[in-house]
Amino acid sequence: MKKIILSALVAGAAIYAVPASAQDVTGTVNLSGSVAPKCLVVPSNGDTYTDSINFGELAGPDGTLRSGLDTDFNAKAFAFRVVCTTPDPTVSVDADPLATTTAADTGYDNSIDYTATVTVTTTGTNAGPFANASDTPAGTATAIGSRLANNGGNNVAISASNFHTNNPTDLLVAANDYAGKITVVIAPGA
Amino acid sequence: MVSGHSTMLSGAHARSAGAKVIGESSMTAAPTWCGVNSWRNRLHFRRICRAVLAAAAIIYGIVGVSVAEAQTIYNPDSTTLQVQVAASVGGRCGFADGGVPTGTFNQADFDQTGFSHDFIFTLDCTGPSRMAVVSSNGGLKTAGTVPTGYTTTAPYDVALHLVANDGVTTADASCAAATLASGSSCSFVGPASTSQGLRLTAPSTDKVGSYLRVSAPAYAGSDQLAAGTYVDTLTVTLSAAP
Repeated sequence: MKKIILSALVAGAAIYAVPASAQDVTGTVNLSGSVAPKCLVVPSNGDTYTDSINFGELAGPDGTLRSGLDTDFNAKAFAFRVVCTTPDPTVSVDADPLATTTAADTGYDNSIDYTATVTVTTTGTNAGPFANASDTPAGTATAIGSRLANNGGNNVAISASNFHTNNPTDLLVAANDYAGKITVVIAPGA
Repeated sequence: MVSGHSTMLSGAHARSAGAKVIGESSMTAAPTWCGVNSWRNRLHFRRICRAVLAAAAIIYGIVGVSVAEAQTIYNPDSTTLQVQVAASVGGRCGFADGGVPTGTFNQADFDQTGFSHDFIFTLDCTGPSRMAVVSSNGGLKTAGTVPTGYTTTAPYDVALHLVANDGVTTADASCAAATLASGSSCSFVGPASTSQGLRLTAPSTDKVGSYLRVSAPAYAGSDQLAAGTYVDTLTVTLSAAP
C-alpha cells in the first residue's frame, strides 16, 4: 500500500507543476525600417563640399600664362570624405575653365583650360582615377568599383594639371574676374 | 493565489446498482469496475482497487473539485486509509484578451529620422509576474556582408513598463537590442520564467498602461549603415513569478 500511496502523491505533484509552465505566454513584435541609397559628406552629413583657391596673378612677366598653377593647386591638397550606403557608387567630374567675361581678340585668350582628376579610396576594386578636361564635355557618371573606404580619413581627392591657353603665345586679357570650378558628383549608383 | 484543503477517504467502492460485473460470480461487494469476483483473486484486487481509488481521489481533489463530491465508501471488511491532501492552485498569468504585445512597426529612413513606438499590452496576472524579451537579430538587420567601416546592423533600445492594479507599483527597465539576443546580458532577456525577466511584484489584471517601447535616435555610429531593408523580431514572454 505504501508503494501505491507514493504513486498517488507523485501524480499529485505532477499535476501541481503543470500550471506554472502552462502560464508562459508569448507575444511577437515585428520591426522593420529602411536605409535609403545615399551619399554623405562626413562628418557634417551634408550633401555638398566646397573649397576654393585663389591663384593670384595668372600671367607671367611676358603676359602669357605663368607656370606653376598646377603646383599651386595641388599644394592645396583638396580632399574630403564621402560615404555612401551603396556598394558601388558612381563618380562624375566636370571641370570648367578658369575664364573671364572680358572679350579676347586674336592673339589673346580669356580662358585657361586644365584637366581635373579625382581619385577615390575604396574598399576593393577601384576604377579610378576619373578625369575631365575643361575644354571637353562633362564626364559621365562612372561606377567606382566597390564601396568608398570608411576608415575615418579622406577618401576623395582632387588634383589639376595641364593648365594652358589655346595657344602658348596667347596673352591673357586683363581682368579680375577669372573664375572656374570643378564639380565632382558622387552618387549612390545602381 | 494559493488555497488548499484536505480530506479523509476510507473504504472501498460499493457496487453500484445496475453495474455490470464481469466474471463467474455475482457475489457481492467488489467494485464493479474492478471486474473480478473470483474468490481467489478478490482479496488481492480489492486492495488494488482501494489504492487506485485513493489515488484517484487525491488527483480529483487537487484539480479543484469540491470536497463534497468525494465519495465516502464503505466495506465491512476494509481497513481505513487516511491520506492528507494538500494542494496549491496557482493564480493565472497571461495577457488579457486583445492585450497581447503584437504588431508591426516600420520606419523608413530610420537612420536619419530615428524612431520611437510603443506596443501596448495588458497583463492578466493575479500575482507577481515576469516579462522577458528576445531579439532575433540583436538590432535592426539587413542582409549581406559589408567591408570594414560599414555595418548591416542598426542599434535600438527596448524598454518595458509594467503597471500593477494599484497604479502605483510599476516595473521599468531598458536595454539595447544588442543585449536582447538569446543568452545576452540584458536583465530581462527572455524567455521569461519564475526567475528571469522584469518582475512586477503585484497583480495586474486588465490594468492599462503597460507597454513595450522601441526607440532609436538618428544613427550616429562611426560605421556607415548599408542601404537596405532592416528587420528584427521581438519575442515577448510572460510568466507567473510567485
